[in-house]
Formats: sequence, C-alpha cells, structure tokens
Amino acid sequence: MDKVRKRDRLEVIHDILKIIHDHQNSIRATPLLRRSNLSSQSFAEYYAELMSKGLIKEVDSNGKKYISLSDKGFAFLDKYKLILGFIDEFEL
Amino acid sequence: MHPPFDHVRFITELGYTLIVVFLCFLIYFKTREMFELTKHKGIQYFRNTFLFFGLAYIFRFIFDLIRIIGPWLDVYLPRDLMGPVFMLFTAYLSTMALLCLIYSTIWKHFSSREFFVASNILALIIAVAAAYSPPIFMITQVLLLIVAIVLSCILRKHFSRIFLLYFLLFAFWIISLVLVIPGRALGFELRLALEVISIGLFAILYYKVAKWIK
Repeated sequence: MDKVRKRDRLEVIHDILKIIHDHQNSIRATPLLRRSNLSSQSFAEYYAELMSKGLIKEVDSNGKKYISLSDKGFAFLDKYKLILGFIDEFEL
Repeated sequence: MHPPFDHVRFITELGYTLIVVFLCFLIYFKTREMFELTKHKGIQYFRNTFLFFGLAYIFRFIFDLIRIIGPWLDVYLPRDLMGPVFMLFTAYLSTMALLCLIYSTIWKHFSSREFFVASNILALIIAVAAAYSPPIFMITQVLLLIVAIVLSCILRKHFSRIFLLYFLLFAFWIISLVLVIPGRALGFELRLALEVISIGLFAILYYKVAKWIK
C-alpha cells in the first residue's frame, strides 16, 4: 500500500493561505479547518502560528469573524516557489 | 627600528576584507524577507552563518591591522593584549559561523535550544583556547570542518555541489587565517591568488542566493 506523503510545515502553511486566497480572501474558521485537511489540534496550532507571524488577520463583518490574508500573507503566496527553490538549492 | 610599512599588503588585505564582508552582509540582508515570511530555521541559521562570517572577517582584519600598522602609530598600543583579544572574537565568530552552517542543513534532527547552548559553549571554549594559542584555533576549525563533512554525509547520505561550495568557503577561511597567524611564509602572488579565489567563492554563493530573491 502506498504511504500518503506527510506535508511539511511550509507546505501546510502555503495550503492554508491558498485556501483563504481562493475564497476571495475571506473565509470562516470552520470551512477553513475542513478544507485544510488537518486535525482540530493541528489546525489550532497553525492558526495561532499564522496569526503570530502576521500572515493572516481576523476581520469582523456583520458580527461574524472572517479570516483574511494580510499583506505579508499575500507576499508569502507570491514568493512561495522562490522560497522552496532557495531551501532546496541550499539544502536547508 | 621598525620594519618598512607594507602599503601593498595593507591595501590588498583591506580590499579583500571589504569585498568579503560586503558579500556576507549582502547575503544576510537580502534573505531577511524570506526569513521574516517563513521563520524557517534552516534559513535563519544560513543567514546567521554569513552574519558571523562577515564579523569574523572584520575581526581577522583588525587582528592583522594591529600587526601591520601597530609599530607605525604614535599612540601606545598594548599589542600583547590586543592580539589575543581580537583573536578571541575572531575564533568565537568563526566557530559560530561554521556551527550555524552545519546546523542549517541538519536542523531537523536536533532541537534548536540544545544547539544554541552547545554551540555557544563550544565556540567560547575554542575562542579562549585561540586567544592563548592561535594554532589550536586553526586545528579546531579543521576538525570542525571534517565533522561537518562526516555529519552531512551520514545524515543527508550525499555530498552535493552546494556542500562542496560550503566546504571550500571554510577551507579558504582557514587558509586566510594561516595568512595572518604564523610566519606569513607565503609570497605576495600566492597570497593574492588565494584571496581572489576566496572572493570568487563568495561571489558564486551570492549569485546563487540572488537567483531566488526577487
């Protein structure tokens, strides 16, 4: 049986940001958790990390909390391939 | 009676140091955004390598400068004390640079807290030993380089072109230390050739970094 490849940290971060981006940069936490294919605990950890790094932000709209990318989040998505290339080239 | 002041040596050493330090700091600052975005440990320690390396080259130059221009200054310089002090800083920074580079490629196998404590203790021990005996410093750097190669071969199971470049950078750093520490037996041409090759290696590395920074 084929083993499913485990995503590395950077890849998970990219996937979460991409989901937000693909939802017109506005998504609620529950659908984001569902689409990110992470356990609730892992998702909570990544969510806290993305918030602390300033890659995402919470936006209140009609009393509901939505998640959006920050400028830094957009920059991450924009440079993701370059970052991966850099890490690969220098074997970091 | 002072030996004649060697202008050519002073200018070549100054030029060599300025170019290498410039390239090191360029690598450090140009990769800042990439690190800020990812907080990737490998990138963090890769950057630290060049910060430490650049500073080590500055202290190496000051160490050499005291010997070159010291006798020509009118002011009193406690050269017996200043030499070991600058050697201590050079050794600490150099060892940290080497350890950071090793760690940047194998960080997934060890915790960063352990590395921080262990690397600083080791660098301090080597620095103190270097202040007393510069040859011990060079021996430890060679040993660390051998450990780096063995570790990378064991943990990564290959020795790639980028590792060859890392190895050459440190090998030429050790050679540049030999040029300032013992008897300076090398002739000017050979010395210059070694420095040009060393600059070339840093330039290649910077070129490789610049490709990914847009």
